[in-house]
Amino acid sequence: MYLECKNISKTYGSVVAIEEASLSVEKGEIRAILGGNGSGKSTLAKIIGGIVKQTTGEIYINNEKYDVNSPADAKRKKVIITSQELSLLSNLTVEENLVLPAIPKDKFIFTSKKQIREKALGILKDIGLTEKVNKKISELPANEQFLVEFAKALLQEPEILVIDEITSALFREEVELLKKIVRELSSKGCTILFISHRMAEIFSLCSSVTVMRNGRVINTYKIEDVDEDLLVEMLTGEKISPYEIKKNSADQRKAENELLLEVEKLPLKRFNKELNLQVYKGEFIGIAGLQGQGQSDLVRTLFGLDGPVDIKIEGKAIHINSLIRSVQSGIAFLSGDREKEGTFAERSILENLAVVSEGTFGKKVDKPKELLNQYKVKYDNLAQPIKNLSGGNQQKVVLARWTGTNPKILLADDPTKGIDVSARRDVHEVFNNLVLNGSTVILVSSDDEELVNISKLIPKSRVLVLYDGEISKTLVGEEITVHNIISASLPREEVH
Amino acid sequence: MSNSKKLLLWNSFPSLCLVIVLILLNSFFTNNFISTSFASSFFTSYTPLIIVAIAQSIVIIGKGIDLSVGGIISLVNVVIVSVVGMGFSLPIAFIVGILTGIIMGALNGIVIGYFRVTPLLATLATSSIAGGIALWIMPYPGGQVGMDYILWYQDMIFGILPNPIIFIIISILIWLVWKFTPVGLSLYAMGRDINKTYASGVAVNKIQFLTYVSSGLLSSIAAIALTANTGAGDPLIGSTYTLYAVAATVVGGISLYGGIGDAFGAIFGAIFLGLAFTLVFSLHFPSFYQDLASGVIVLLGIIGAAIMKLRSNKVITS
Amino acid sequence: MKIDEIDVKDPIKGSNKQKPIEKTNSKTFGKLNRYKQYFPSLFSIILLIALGQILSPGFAHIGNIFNILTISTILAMAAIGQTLIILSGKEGIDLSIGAVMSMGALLGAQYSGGNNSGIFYAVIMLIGLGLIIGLINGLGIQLLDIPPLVMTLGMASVVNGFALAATKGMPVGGAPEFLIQIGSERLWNVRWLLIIGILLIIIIELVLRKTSYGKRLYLVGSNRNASMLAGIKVNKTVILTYIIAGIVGSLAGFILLGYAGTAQLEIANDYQLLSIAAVVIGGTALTGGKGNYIGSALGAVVLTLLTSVLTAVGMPAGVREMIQGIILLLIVLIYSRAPKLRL
Repeated sequence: MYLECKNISKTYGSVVAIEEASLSVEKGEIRAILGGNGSGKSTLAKIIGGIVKQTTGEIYINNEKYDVNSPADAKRKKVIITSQELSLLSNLTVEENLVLPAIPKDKFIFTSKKQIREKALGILKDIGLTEKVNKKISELPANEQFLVEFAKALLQEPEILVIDEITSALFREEVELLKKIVRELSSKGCTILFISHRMAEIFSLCSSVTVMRNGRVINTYKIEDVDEDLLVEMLTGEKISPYEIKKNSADQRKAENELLLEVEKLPLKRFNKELNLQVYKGEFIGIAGLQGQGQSDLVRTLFGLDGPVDIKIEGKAIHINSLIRSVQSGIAFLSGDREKEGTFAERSILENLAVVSEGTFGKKVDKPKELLNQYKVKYDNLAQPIKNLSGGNQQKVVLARWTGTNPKILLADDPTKGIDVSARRDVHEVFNNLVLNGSTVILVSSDDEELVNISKLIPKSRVLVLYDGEISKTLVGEEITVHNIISASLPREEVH
Repeated sequence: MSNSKKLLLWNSFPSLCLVIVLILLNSFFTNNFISTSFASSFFTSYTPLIIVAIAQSIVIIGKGIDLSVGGIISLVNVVIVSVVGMGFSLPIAFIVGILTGIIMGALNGIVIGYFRVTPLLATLATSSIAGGIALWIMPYPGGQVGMDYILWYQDMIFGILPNPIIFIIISILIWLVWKFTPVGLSLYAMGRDINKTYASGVAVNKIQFLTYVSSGLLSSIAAIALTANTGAGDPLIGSTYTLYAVAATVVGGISLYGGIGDAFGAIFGAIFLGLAFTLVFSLHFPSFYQDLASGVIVLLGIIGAAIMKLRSNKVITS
Repeated sequence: MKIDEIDVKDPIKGSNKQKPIEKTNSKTFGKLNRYKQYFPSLFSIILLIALGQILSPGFAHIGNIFNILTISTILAMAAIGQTLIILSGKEGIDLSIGAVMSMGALLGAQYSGGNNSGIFYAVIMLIGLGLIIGLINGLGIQLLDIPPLVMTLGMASVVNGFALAATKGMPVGGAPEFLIQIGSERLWNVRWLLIIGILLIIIIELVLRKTSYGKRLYLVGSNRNASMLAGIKVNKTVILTYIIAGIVGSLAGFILLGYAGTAQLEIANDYQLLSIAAVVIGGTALTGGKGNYIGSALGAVVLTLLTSVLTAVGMPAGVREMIQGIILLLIVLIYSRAPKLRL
């Protein structure tokens, strides 16, 4: 074996991202790493690429220990990773970005523009983007940016290339081109790790696949030994049952319920698309799909984070042009990025609880201790800094800050990511209470199981599965199963 | 892209326009404006400012800030005069001065680049250290450098180009070394997003270190020029330069958020400030109003640059 | 205020990382933990008093100590605005406090004419000027997105120029008798100035902890994004902070006039750097949202002690300044480091 990962674990504080992951890859192999959200595949890729350091475990390349302290180190060892979040700088041109890891010099110390152009054109020719060589990266559409990210990696002549979820942004022809290049590299002895969720590509490109779930490696297979259904089963841990098409009972519900929120042509700018949404009182709406398909954009734009929007709440037209307006109109927002957008880390639990009541509405929090107990928050005293609590409890406090204000609509952007199971249950209970009081909860979740669980808890549930900024499927009632969600999330090339 | 469009989109273009406007205004109100004698006196006064503006622009493009430039200028000025006072020749004094500037810059660079201290606080502290040492070496203004040097500084090459420009050219060369070597490209990348640049395998600590060393070096060159202008040592001479250097950089289209602009914008910004101060003087404001007028000009420059940035952001996102 | 500070564009971040959880301390250590931020200051105070006594016998005499405490009040007043601004977060800093204080001293002397009867007029004028200065700072920073460093630095220049222009270069008037008495007269053997200093600590702490402004300030400083998302009026809070700083700075200059007896241009220059150092020593993080005023007041005491020790030992002004710089550098090396590049 050429590349060997032995018992790699990575924890961030109390959150376990990867647990005892082991795999080995032969030289020149094209290995797929398949996993759903939270499987740890991206973290593993980053560890191999030198961006993140593993907590425990070792990596060997060609029987030599691989111990790097920075991406620059990894580069020296010829291990290159493309970044899912793109390592491109928006103020530089395409060619400048391409050569940044190894800027060519002329005979003396000066940057050789000639060599930059040569190298850039050389690699851009392979991917068909030569005409963009001196354009600023910010001028390129997303698919071309990902191609440039790929080309940047190629230019560094890797011996081990980790491709992290590039193809989602590419058009079909570009994917074919990428596959061709990858096959060429493989035949020249480059080892490829292909991280993707796209079955068609995995089956047409890779010779083997490692499946990960919940931070663990489930198993590794030769590609000829498996088929799609088997892989999906391993991803979800569920046996596949025939795809059931149930009659949509959405129309039924419209009659017995009041329209709470109506949005027409909600702009999802990243996808250049518009969504229409109708939400009824006392509903739970789950938004599902693979990462980055527009779920976050939906709730954030609805809240007013991406420019002014026009919505109707209880029939009244409201022009949201500021977050203050949103909040005062009865919309609450719970972010998934707790650190950046939720908690006031240094401040006390009481302060975090009182943010909306006191900070925005000027009312004192009514019975804070009871509130925390109601949310089953485990704490010592109200004055301790919130960062002392576990992640789940922190998020519960953040959620609780909206309660006293009786929000009509709660928008939540993947708030339970990285939170332990029992804390999640408590949060789901809160959602249920809100819903029973006539409010609506719109929850984006990357955990399909969670959406299924909530739908069992709250009868009036709908799950919208998004792909590429559109609602690819609406699931209602018994249709809400993990299998159906995943199936609706993945763009499957084959026709059943 | 056509050349004229390139010019319009050049970050330093607005500040160039400001300079042109001020040249026009000055030509009306300032006596003897279009003359070599004015050019000579303008550059003897404002060359140090132009040089520190270049220094500050390198640091700010990398998303840092150097509040110690004024202190370093004071220190190097005092060092030069003291070394001459000890009997050494002027070139030796210059070398010692330059070394002093480089050492202070390296101190900044290590603390900020390798220990990752906030640039604002670090340079504020080193500013105090530099100023304190200057005051210690020379508690009161005094000393003297040779008359030859002072006279040379006020003279001109070939009768048309003021000698101080030599210092500016040296400083521009230092900027060009940045711009045309790999560290320049890395500097712009780092200023935009240090994490992505790090992920691309660039040694960002080293680059940050080098920006502060450059700033220290350039500040010492500014002090060399300044010493010729004043002819003596003064431990407090550099105090206003920090603000003006930052203002010149901001007016010159360089964003404090990094990754944008180039040193020429800062040069135009510094020239703009110099011309504006000259205009105030020529308009015969009563002397005690001149500081206020200068301050207001600087503030208006800063505000103007901010408004233009907001406008251009709107254009980009629409 | 920009809504697009919050990242709609890049939700593919999937941050499930968490800061390590600190174990909740037991009750006894918990109580001590609260005062953790004062340890550096208290330790330094004891160290400096001891050092002073060794280097200059008689230093630790109670009269001298009270003297130093009294003097430190003025720096503590300069630190009020600085503390609030730094607490407001997002790289908030005030580089104009020195200029504003100098202006307060100069114009206070001029508007009062050196007479007690002129005090009321002078105070009104100074409050007005401070308000305008703070308002301009706040508007530039919040609405035009000018970095606080640049905005306040620019204002400092304007304020200095304004003070020069308003006094026509010749500071007239002087310190009204009443002000001088604040610095020299005593109540029960404690000088009025010190009493004012202690009262101010109480008042400012009450404002920070009990008023809605104070509570909003901590939230705004702790997490701007979360504050905006919760519907808090961030702009108003920040602008008000700069206004308060302007007014307090202006009045502090007036008090400085009383203590110094007369005023010259840029008399309060030193207070600029020292006010920032006091806040940093006091444990308030430059990133905002954490800290208090008591810490800054203690920091002011530490710095005044340091200056006294150096003066008592006969250190020239330059050495004093250099040592202040070195100490600030050491403090920030310990307390003000940016996050590591690699996770």
